[in-house]
Amino acid sequence: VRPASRVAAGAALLAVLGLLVVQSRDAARASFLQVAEGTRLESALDARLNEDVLRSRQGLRRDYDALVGTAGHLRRLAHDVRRDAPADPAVSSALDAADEARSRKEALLDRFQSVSSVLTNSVSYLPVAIDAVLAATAGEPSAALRGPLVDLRHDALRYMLKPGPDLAAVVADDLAALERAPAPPHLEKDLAAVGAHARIVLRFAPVVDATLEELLAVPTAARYHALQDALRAARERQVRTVSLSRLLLGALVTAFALSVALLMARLRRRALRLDRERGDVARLNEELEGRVLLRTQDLARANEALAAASRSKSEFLANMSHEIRTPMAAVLGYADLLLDHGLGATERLGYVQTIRRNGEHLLTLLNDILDLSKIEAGKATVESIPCSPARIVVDVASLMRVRAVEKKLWFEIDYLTPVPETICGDPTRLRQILTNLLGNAVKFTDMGGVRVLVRCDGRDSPRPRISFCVADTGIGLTAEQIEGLFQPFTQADSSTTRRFGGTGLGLTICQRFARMLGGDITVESTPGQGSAFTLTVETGPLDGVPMYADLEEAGPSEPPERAPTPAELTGLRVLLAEDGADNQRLLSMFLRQTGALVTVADNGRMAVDGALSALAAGEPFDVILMDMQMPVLDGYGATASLRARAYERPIVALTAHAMADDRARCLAAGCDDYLTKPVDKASLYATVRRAAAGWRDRHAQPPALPPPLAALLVSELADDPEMQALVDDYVAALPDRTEALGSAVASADREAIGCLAHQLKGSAGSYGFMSITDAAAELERVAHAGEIAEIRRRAGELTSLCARARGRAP
Amino acid sequence: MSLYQLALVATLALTAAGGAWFLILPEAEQPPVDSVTTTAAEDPARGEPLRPLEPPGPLDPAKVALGKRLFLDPRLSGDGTVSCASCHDLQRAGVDGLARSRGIGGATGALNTPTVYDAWRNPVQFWDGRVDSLEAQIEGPLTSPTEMGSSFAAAIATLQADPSYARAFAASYPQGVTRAAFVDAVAVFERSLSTTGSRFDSFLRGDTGALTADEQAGYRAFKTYGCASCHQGANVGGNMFETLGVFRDYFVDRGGERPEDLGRYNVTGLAEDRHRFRVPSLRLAARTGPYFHDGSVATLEAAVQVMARYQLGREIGPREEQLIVQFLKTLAGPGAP
Repeated sequence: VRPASRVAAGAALLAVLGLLVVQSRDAARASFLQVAEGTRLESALDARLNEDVLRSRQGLRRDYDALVGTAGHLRRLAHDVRRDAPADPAVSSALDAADEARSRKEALLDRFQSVSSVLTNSVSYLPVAIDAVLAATAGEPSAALRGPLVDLRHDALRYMLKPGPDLAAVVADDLAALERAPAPPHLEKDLAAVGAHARIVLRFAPVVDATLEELLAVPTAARYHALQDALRAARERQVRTVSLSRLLLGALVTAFALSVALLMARLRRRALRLDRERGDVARLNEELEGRVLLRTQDLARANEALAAASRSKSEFLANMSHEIRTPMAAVLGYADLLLDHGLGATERLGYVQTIRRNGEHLLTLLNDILDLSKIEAGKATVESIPCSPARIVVDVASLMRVRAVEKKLWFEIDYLTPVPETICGDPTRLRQILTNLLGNAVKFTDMGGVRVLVRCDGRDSPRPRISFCVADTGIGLTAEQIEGLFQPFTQADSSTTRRFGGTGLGLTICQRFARMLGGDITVESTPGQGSAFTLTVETGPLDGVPMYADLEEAGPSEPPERAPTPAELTGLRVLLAEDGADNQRLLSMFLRQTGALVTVADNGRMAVDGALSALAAGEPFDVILMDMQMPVLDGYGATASLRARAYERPIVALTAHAMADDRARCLAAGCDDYLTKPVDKASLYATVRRAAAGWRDRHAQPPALPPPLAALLVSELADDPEMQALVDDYVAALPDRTEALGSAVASADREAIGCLAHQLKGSAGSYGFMSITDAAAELERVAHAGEIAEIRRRAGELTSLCARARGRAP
Repeated sequence: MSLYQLALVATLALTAAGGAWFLILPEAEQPPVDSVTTTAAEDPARGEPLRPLEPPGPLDPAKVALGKRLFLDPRLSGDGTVSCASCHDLQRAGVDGLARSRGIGGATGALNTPTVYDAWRNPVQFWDGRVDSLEAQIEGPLTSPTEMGSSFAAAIATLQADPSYARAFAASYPQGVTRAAFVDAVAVFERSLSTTGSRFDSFLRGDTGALTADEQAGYRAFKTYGCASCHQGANVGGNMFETLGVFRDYFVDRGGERPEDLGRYNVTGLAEDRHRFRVPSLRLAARTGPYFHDGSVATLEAAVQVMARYQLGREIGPREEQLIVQFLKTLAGPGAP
């Protein structure tokens, strides 16, 4: 709404209110009462006027004062009433009508007074005059005169009492008779007067009565009543207006008050609701805070779990990558060896068997991963078919017994209870689980032996169970290790896995399958004394199934292995730090074939000790090939340890980790180069040669013989005799600088390297050695953020350039 | 909480009170009819055609004085020579004693001057009764060219120019010198002119000794001869009109008719009003000759005879004439010098 219309509406409302207030005051009441009173008085006075006129006519009142006074009163009253009357058309016309009647009546009254006076005079005098004539003629013989006189007196009186045409004719006849009669001269005057008065009576009596009748017929009373009615009607209209105004005002006031009351009630409700809501909000806030706190804690926990899971998964992937690459390297490596034609049949057989074993391991690994991912995805299924537990135990045992025997362990199978001939189950899974358990037992046992105990419980119960307990006398497990034993992606100690092999998934998979078969795997162990893994599965109903209390046995055997050689890196001393026996063999073989002298270290610790002792003995290894994942001390730790002891000679990392940051991690640990397993023979040779050459280049003594002419770097200022001495001095100081650079590089002191490079860059150009300045700039560029190898290379280049620098042409 | 409830209760109470007040509806009141009593209670002159004069009501003396001053002031006339009192000589029974009155510049009026004493008792004024109040009457002589020959405007201007008048008016009339105040003051004064206390009134009130036997006989003759048919009431006439010449043609006998002789006809234009005149009061008749509208009769005796002949249709003998004249002389009270 625009302000103008709002103002207009407000003004209209105020106007209406004002009108209502004015109307409701009923200001016209007093004047109405006055006017009504006036008209009532008019009616009364009018009635009195009629009364007075009649009284006058009857001779009861012989003066006109009252009559005239009443008429004057009426006239003044009419004036006042007209003045005070409400402005109403009906009242106005009623007033006009009443006034008209009153005026007419007044005029008639005026006329009545005149004619009545005349008539009164004649009526009172006529009998007197007649009597006087009669008296005067008494005793005289003129009976002719007396007769008509007497008649006239009589008839005139009758006529005066009741004037009418008949009597008028009679009186007229009497008059005529009187005039005809002979009159004595002395009575002539009197007789004339009698005649005149009789004629007056004859003339005026009907006029007076007619006037009176007309006067009385004037409808003043009706007019006054009509006026009163009109006034009453007007008043009623007025009262209606006033009533309506008051009602409307009352309604408005009531509505206003109600609105105020409603508004207040609503405000109060709103206030209450606000209070309530404020309370609710406060409570809600508290709840929310609590919930947020809980949720935050949950999230923190979940986050931790996720981070842990992520770490586990990354680690797992890294392990898998390593585990797959290791046997793969063996397979490919032995396959390469097989291509060498100069092999004997025995050697070939050994290689093939190695390839086969590694392939099998690979297969196992892949199966494990597949199994686990299937289980994880909920897609793994177990069969429920009749199978023989004894058969399964014997089959598995026959495989494991060989290994046990190889490790000089005893191997026993016992039935603690009779065992059913067949059970309902999944023979494949059972075989898998038992193979795993027995494999572990053999694997982790170096002394003593392995025992398999089979028992069947609850044969008669609805759910009979068969359990296989695999107990060993191996290294055992701590409580913490047991806790993480069955967790996927969790390996308490990667070193352990490294030492004993395996995927670390086996037990996880086995327990999942055991549970799918209606059972479980439990473990009891004492560290250093051995472990007992118990597989329990449901057998299905055993009614009528034959029970055996005895066993059978079976088992194959395995051929041994050997190593060959080509030639290239003759005389190079190489330390191979590698825990995997296959890779040890393979890589040493590759290297020996080139004429290198290979020393093998089984772990990082041995590698460090070997390298340092060789250095100390004056027969340092030219190159160390360092497997990064080894038991006891891994490659990273060993490299860091060596560098920490100022071991400067090349170390080449061997890693199965195909991860993106592996290379960076290796170099950061102090390695000079990097080889990924499975190792390609050619790149192995190239890398080892490069590493050895790089070292030799860097640490070769300054050559005793001057380098060939072409190799000399002559100052561009050589022809300037004035500069000759200065340039010679500068060149003479160069060896000191390169020596300082060399030691800085050896200690990987990037700051010192950068500083020396900067000095060379700034000075060399001034003495005419632009190429040295360029090389120094290159070194400076990489000194602070570049890779160590790069720095070494650049430093080497710079050193050789400096060595070739000459002040003048030879 | 309780504040809200209090406010709510208060609002509702106010609403109820306000609504109740507004709902008291006005009534179409019917006041009791004021019974108009016919004043027949105590009438000392019961049955008599003549009645004693009542004294005038209480009047404001200041207004009376102012009115008298105005009444006597000739400056109100056109030429400053004629006052009301020039014709209505208060020392000569309110008349000038001339047949026709003299106006400004020696002009002669058409009619005989009626007395101003007790004129206020008459329901109509002038011979033809053309106005019904003293207030309305004043304009006539003031503006008539043959009388004062002035106008209200001129008269008021004259009065306003006089500081003493301004003071006198201001003392009695808040509006000062105005036509209404002027008229009212003169009328109030005229209402003070009364001839109450006559011997005849005492007689009417029962004091039979107030009149001599002759005078009483004159009163009887006055009634018997029909005089009292018209000359009745307290003012002995003045309250009705009558045609002059009921039994004989007065104007033919006089020798011709003049315009002013048409009487009330000049007001109404009705044929029946020809020669009709206001019946004059006879209270001061003994001293207000010459008589009749034309001032044609010099003596009271002659006037009685004229009336008997033309109005009553009879002869009045000398004896009765004298009695009637004697009676007429008892009508004036001491108020009119």
